[in-house]
Amino acid sequence: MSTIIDVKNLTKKYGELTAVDNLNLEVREGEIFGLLGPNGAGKTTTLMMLTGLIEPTSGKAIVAGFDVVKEPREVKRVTGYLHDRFACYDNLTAKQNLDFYAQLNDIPRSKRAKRVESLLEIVGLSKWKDVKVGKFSRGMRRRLGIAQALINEPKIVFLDEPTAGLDPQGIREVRMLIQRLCREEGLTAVVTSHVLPEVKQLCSRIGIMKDGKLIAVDTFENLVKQLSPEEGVRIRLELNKLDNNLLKSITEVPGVRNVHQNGNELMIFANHDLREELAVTIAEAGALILTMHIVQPSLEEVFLKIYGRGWI
Amino acid sequence: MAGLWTIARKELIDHLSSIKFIVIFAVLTMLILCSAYEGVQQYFQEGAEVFIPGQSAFLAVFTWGITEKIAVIGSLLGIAIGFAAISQERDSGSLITLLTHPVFRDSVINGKLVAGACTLTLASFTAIALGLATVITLTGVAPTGDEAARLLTFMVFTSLYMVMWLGVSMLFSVMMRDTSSSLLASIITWLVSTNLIYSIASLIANIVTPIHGGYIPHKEEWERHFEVIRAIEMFSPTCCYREAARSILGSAFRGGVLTIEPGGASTDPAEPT
Repeated sequence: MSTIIDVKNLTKKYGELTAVDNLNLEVREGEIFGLLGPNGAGKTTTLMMLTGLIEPTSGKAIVAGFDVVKEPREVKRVTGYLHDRFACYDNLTAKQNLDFYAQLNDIPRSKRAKRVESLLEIVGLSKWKDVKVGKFSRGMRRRLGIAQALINEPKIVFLDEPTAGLDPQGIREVRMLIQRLCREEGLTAVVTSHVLPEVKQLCSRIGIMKDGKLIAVDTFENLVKQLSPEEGVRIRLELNKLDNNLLKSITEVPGVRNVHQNGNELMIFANHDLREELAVTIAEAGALILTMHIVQPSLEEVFLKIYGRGWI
Repeated sequence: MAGLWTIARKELIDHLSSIKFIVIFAVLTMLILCSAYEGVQQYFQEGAEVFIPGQSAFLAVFTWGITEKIAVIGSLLGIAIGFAAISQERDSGSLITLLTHPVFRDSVINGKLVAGACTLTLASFTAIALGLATVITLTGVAPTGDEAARLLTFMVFTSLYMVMWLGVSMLFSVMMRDTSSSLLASIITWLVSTNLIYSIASLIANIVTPIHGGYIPHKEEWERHFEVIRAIEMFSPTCCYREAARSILGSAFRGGVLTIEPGGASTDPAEPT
């Protein structure tokens, strides 16, 4: 897969404040890239620079072959952007709003109506297409925002908090929509979010930002692996019976750091994967294993861990 | 140019269907109709002699106080359309959405200006045409070719005057952080232009060219004093508009008060008898 977004030493300063600090990033065609970080980490500023809305103080960014500083209009033609404070015209209907944005993108009249209808269908707003946006709920506005970002059939779509304000059903639908578009139409998506499980489910790679710096970029699995040496492995066990002798011998298996007991269930913290050794020990004690698996740390844990130590 | 006409078209529809515009336009039309009616009443009661020698009776009837009303209310219509043009979109967030599409920033402003100018031209032409129709219906007198040409020029100038206010309020709308500051700045400018300018002009004139007695013994002093006042008043678009309307319509009304133009008037062949 070729690189579709190439960012080199991108910096944005607002007076004394450095909103984005020497950012280097490559996003490949067709991938869903997640940008994580708390408020004020520079995610929105980064997206605004990548869509040609604001000019970087220094550095370079090539988006779909166009320089964001020299060719912002071309960049806007091939990208779609859902801003985190997305708003459109409350006095117009959903259909009129989309039609207006379609006109701005020079979509010919003959194709416009069809494009608008199909987008409204995709985001599930067909029923409300003739209702003024002023009467829309937050979630409906968000969906309209996604439709608006897709109006020009972009190569890359930047979604700033796409699921903010949506109910669980809506979040699932938006996630599936983004995944489907990327899979079927080769769309590349850059998504920012606070909702960590969503990013884990949606994104093929994750970048974590802190104070304007990109402090970690990798797949979720690799981010976890990088943490593993010190974090160790967690193994969950459920046995048919458990007595103190067995508990003691499990604790004494080399590599076991700690054991938490809850009835017949055990959570074992180990230096590395000890499933074989544990199985042998338990079998020797004459007990049966009902379930045994490695527990992945949650994204939240990975996130906080990376944050906590200012990973670079 | 990208997007300019798309934005202008959308804005034009927005204006013509907005309650704000309809209310102010209705007020302007009412005032123009009222002054046309007053003029006609005056004409029937006292005949053409009530008007100033040298002015066409038709124009005099029609423009009875009309300039003054447009100078004040027409400018408000311009402000009403312009003060929120950019700032409101910035406040709501729709400006960013707009700019994420391939459109130039100046196209956004120019598109809005074009739409506003069309709206104001339409409003001023409609309101004045309605007033004209009232005068023609009530008096049974139609304007001559010269009068019609003067009226048309007056309509164009009136539109320009209103568009000027649109431009001023849009400028504040771009410069100010929020809509309320933009409105406040426009209203202050409007107050200065329509009202305070007279006090400011005489204040400055009193300092620059003080008067030491009556008009006859100190004629030169007074002349200079008036000149300073006039020069300062020219900074006010409203005063300029009044002057222009006076020249175009040949009217001797100024600020709602009759003033006799020295010379010229009696030599005018169009003098009513």
